[in-house]
Amino acid sequence: MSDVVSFILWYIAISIIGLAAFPIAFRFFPGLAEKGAAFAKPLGLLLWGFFFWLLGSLGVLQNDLGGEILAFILVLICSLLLLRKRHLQDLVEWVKGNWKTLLTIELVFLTFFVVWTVVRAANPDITYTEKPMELAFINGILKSPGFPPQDPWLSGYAISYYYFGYVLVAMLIRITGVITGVGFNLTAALWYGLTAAAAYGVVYDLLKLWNARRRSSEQSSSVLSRFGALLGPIFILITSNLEGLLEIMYARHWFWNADGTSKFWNWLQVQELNVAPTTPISWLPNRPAGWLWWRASRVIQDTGITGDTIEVIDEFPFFSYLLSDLHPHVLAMPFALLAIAACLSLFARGSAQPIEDWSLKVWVKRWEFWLTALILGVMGFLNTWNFPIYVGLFCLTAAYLRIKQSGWRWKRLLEFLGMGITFAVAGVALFLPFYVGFKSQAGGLLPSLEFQTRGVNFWIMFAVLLIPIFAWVAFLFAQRVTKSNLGRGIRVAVIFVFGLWFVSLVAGAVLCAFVDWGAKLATSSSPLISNLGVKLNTAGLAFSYYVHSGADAATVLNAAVSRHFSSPGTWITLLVLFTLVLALIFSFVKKQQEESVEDADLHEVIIEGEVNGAHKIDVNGFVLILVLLGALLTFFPENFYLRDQFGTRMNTIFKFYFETWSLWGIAAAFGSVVLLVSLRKALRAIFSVTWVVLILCSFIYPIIMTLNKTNDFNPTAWTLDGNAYLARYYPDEAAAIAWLETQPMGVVSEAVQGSYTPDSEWVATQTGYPTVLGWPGHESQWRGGSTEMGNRQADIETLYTTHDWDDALTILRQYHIRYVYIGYDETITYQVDVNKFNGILTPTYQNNSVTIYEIPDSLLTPGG
Amino acid sequence: MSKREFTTEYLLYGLLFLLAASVRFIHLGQMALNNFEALQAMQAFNISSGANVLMGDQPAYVILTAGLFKLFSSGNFAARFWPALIGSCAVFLPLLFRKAFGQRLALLLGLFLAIDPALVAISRTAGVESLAIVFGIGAAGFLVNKKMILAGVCLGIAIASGPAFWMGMVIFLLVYLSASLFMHVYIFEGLEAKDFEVFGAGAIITMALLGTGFMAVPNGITGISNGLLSFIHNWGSQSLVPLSSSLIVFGLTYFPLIILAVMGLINSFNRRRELVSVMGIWFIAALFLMIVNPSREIWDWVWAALPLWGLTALGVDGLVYEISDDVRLALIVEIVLSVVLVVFSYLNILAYFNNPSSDLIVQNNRLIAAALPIALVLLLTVFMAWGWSPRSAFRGLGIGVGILLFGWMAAGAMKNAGGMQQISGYAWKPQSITIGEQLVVSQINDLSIWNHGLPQNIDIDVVGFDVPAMRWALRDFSQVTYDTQFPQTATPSIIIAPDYLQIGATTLYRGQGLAWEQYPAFAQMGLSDWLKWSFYREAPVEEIRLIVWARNDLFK
Repeated sequence: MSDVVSFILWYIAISIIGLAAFPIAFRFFPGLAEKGAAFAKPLGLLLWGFFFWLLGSLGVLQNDLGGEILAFILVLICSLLLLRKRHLQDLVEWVKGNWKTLLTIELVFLTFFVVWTVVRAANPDITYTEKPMELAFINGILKSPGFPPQDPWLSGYAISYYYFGYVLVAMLIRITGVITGVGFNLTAALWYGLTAAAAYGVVYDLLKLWNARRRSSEQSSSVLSRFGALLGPIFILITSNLEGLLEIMYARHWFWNADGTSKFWNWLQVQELNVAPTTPISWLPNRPAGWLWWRASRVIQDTGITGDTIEVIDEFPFFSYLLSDLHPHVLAMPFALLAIAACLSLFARGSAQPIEDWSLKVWVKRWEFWLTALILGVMGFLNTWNFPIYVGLFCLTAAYLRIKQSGWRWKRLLEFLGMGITFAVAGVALFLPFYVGFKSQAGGLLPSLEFQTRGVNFWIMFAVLLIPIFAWVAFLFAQRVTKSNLGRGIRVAVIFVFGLWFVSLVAGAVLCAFVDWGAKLATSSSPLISNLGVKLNTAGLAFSYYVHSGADAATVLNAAVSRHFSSPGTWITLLVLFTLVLALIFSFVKKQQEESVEDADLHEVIIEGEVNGAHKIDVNGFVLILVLLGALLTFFPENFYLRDQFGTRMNTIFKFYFETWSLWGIAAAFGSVVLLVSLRKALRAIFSVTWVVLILCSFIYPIIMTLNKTNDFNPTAWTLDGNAYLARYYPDEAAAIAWLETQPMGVVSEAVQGSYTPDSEWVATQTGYPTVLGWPGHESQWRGGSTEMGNRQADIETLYTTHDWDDALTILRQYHIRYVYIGYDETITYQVDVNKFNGILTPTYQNNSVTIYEIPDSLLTPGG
Repeated sequence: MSKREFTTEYLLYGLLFLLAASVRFIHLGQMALNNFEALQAMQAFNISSGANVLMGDQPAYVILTAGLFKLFSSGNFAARFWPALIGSCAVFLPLLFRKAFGQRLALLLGLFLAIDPALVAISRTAGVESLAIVFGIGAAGFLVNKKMILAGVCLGIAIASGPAFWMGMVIFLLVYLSASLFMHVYIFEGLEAKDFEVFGAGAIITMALLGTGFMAVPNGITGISNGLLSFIHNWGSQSLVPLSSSLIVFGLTYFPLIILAVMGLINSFNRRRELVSVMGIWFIAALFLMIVNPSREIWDWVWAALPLWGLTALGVDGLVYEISDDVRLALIVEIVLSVVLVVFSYLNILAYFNNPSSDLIVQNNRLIAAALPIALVLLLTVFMAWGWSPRSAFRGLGIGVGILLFGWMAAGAMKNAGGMQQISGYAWKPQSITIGEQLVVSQINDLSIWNHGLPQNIDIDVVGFDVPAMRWALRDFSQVTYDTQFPQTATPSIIIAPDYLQIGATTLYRGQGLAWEQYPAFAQMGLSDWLKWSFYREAPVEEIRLIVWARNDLFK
């Protein structure tokens, strides 16, 4: 099948899915101007995947094409049920009147889809980083008879990871009939398009609501919204951090002294850029790095107590798509924007008309509640980190509306928590089969203490978003904030910022003290207290040695305090942002309480079929919530982080900063349009120039690094098949793997390589047939330890190296290995003794460099 | 209709059902399952054994048969029970169309469906074809009679039957559209949206219940969509039987029908235009689909045969309609003469092929002896028409030929009911016929009893022959393995392998060859072969042979 045909099939498939789900979106998003058209495709994918996965997990549907079709029919039935009576007529009327908007959304989607397809076709290889892992998951799901799907890298076990995104990918691959290598790259491109359309939709809805309140004319509102919304996908998916600008400055040798020193670059402390350049001066980056484009995801770093550098991941969407790993945080993006849209829909509805009944007992009876729970709950199954974030966003939105409607009381906190727990429980319940078998490496929270993000690095990361946001917030501030609300904002922000820091210090002190406390308690005569003491002592030692290189409590706490004040840029930035945002929110809430009394007698205006009372919706409030949540997400890791196998802030910053980019991207897009429209004269000129310069600086990375990664769009071969490199460079392996795919499924033994080894675990990764053990490090991360792995790595080595057939047979029987694969990896990793196989078995497949033995059933049965 | 008529009519249908059931159930379990049948039966067997089975594309058959296996035991008879029973119920279908056909014609049609050779053949095959036809047409019939729930239930079962239904669905859509657009014949006139809601709900509930086996086999519901997918996918594959062969088989089996159907079409077109139109369009649509569908199987032609029966019933009805107005003597003489002379001609044709003489004059005489009676019949008919009654003369000729042709069809039905020795006669059976099952199983069981005291208690290794019919034959043996290679070190008691594979340790084993499968080589047949086949059902066959190897020490 040619790549063009594959692309067309994918476009048709996603269009059909989107069309099937559009009636549901239309009924679910009544308060949004585009009625959910921009979210119909991800919503359709979500429902289709959910029905398929859930009914598959319950054993009702099989994991095959028939099951997928039945699941799709269920989506159609849901849509048809929601279209009964007058709703079909409403939908048809609305489509007729808004075809331009629909066409624009579709064009945005298609443009981003096409562009990224071309980029992937120029750089398609599924190798390096974690792409083999993702490909293995996809193939494992395709080959599994049901759910949970088998782990292709640990035979006999199910996948222990949030794999829903891979289920969706596998479903698309199966229903369109493309090969997995092509499907992998089409997924990256499709998700790029889906995210772009969703981002466009959110900003479009925001701008339409903003224009409705300004009571601007229908035509100018449409034009402004339709073009202004393009900033949504631009800010989220194209703009990048300023590392690209730094690369050019570095290539120009700016701020380097003749002696190879530089205060500027040392102050920045961006790895690789803090070493004197050795290449000639150039306008394009030319430093001798492995991957030039990689550094942008590592502009932030932590420094340990002893001065050692600790890696921190600070990916942003464009980087992630350029890397094109189908990692959960990427696969979750369109659905995260769907969740934001659901929150916006609630905001619009609750702002236009007071919500009559806030009782959750009433809410749970409505289908909208369960769809919301599904949209939020799927976050846990797509990228678990997102689950609390978007439940939090929904609850913040609801809390804002509640306070606006009924005033502030301390009871609102309980209501906020109650709503959060309800949606969390509902979200978990809907995906219960996943949680039943899921194991995680997460193990609580740890205080960050000396691990602080330096202000300069924080601004390198977020300048392109923060500058428009600050400018917009300041603009609003000047218009709306009273002194009293400013005072309240300052108080709350200071208490929160310093309070959380204080809590983290206390937590750190307590954890450090566990060493001594635990040692004392361990000497107790009571076994219970003694055990507790041992546990406390162990935890304290682990915290002290593993996280803080063995430094004592005083040293750690001193470092925490001194670094907090010697590198205050980040927390001061966030303190100012918290202050401004909170002050504004306090003003909005109070003002809208007053307005709701005044407007009670106003005749409601209907604009473009929007919900009655759209002019009453001050959407600035929602954008402020987005900014606030982003600030919380970036502030949290300055004080606490999630404990995992790495023991550092790496993953916490990674996941929280990535979501912040989406939240602040929407806010920056909205704020930019508002300022460009609302500012006058000198201020407008200053802002416009600054904004353009900033955007251009942020475009440096995407332009230069795309060219770099695609070899200036001059690849070895233009293809979407990410596995084509295998046939090109390892034809014998490719032929052997292709043959094996025609054979009945069974466990395969192949060499065990370390994590991130690019050309390893070929057979399991390409075929989905389970191997005894894949990447041990990753299996350990996924399962929170190595209990399940047991002795597999050593056993596989024994299988290949032993001269004794009986020893080999024992291992073959233990893991029920059907195929023994001896190829390139096996021969370079082990001293393979093939004689023991040849004496008993005839090779089932053989070419120049690969031999495969099939073990007969009769041998695997003891006594055979 | 009076109570007496009601009772008589239903009594007649009951008799028809008994007739249909007798030709379908007789010797039902005698022939072993072939690969096509065994594939479905093994799924049912595995489900009844409690195994987790991936559902194929025929969930209705698999689940119903699994239930039967669970209640009773698995076997060839049980595997074919449901198709035979439901196929027998085909005689009731004309009841649903009584208004259109009339009471008499409906009964006649029921008789024809009872003895239709193709329907009998597929009713005696473990598969869903008879379910698809009976329930598919049943759904249409109940819709016409505005029985929505029953129509929905029938449709649900038909959809769950698998790919065979979808062929009929496409034909139905073509007929419906053609009749509506071109003939302004609206088959489901008078039905409202609410009726279709009930109909749809009935179908969905039935599919859900039957597809999941009342939740005993939840994943069975996936088989419903797999059935549609298989139908679509099959359009990309090629049938093993060439189009010419299947056309010939259809023609030779149904040529009497074609003649009578044409008569029916001509006679009844004015009186019953709508019915004739629908039947005609149906036949043309089915014929068209059979020709263009590259993956057609021989039993798919049943969809083309059914409308022929309808037209035949009209033709026969036209022949016997108002027979009391005829000159009785002329009618009887014409009938008797037609039968006798045509039979005489037929016997000479048989002799021509059966006992060919080397003497050319003798052969030519036989040809003349075959042709002369036909000419005589025609001449006599003309004289009778001129001298007595043209109507009686031609009607008598038609009735006489009709009796002979009816006998031909009935004989065909009986042959398909297991009355044939030659495998090549089973043209309407999908794929090959398994003939070696009984021999293999009995030999292995003997060895098991001799050596272990119990049947089915011996280890067997099947090498290079993992086919459904073999798995079905050995289903009750607990120690069976299937390998692609001979084990180098292991020495199982029994090895079964194709005859072209030689085991390494020949000194340890003794073997016996046998024919496992046979199939008629229709693709290699010429005109004379087809003529012989039309009379004797003889054709060249090909076979697959196996060797059953038994370890020498088992004979001590």
